[in-house]
Amino acid sequence: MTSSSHPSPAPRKSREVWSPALRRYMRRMWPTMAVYAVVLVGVIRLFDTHPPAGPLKYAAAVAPAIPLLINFWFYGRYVVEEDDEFRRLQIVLTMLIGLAVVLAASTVWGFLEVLAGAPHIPVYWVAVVYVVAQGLSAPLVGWRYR
Amino acid sequence: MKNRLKVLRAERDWSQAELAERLDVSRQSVNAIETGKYDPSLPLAFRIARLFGMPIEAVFED
Repeated sequence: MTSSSHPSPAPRKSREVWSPALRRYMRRMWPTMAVYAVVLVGVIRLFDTHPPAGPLKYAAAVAPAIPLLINFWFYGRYVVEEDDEFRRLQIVLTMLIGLAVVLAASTVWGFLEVLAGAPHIPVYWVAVVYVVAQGLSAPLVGWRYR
Repeated sequence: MKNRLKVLRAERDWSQAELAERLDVSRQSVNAIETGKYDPSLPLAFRIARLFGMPIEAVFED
């Protein structure tokens, strides 16, 4: 990218797409997700082949959750560390939309389960719905502030 | 909030990206403030006013 004919310095393109805080979050998040994948596969195999008993059963069952909890923490750090206040507002708006979708979906499904015999869904799907809803709301929030 | 950011920017022949660079914020932030869709925080409003060398009230109108 040359700026020979332009007197002012070219803007740092990198800041536009990936803020430093976002890049830091990615650097933390991806390795942790890799650990999650490995632990998940390991634990599933363990329960398939040599199901643990006693306290080990609970420890093994919870093990895949640990890297995910760590990633939730990293996301919180990202929101705090993002020093562009407008970007931070947009992030928080997407989080609110994700939360609204989760509240609505889990409330509706809860009544369907209890009253209408709908199949039970493991509670960890809450996090999946939240992440997907938040991700999908990002372009909407961006469009609102275009 | 109404503001004179676009005019002040044009007087200095700065693009939104250049103004963003000088304020150390994203170009989206500059656009959102200029179009009145987002009101900057007090520290950022002060930085903007200082960058243009004038009081806050000369940049933002409520």
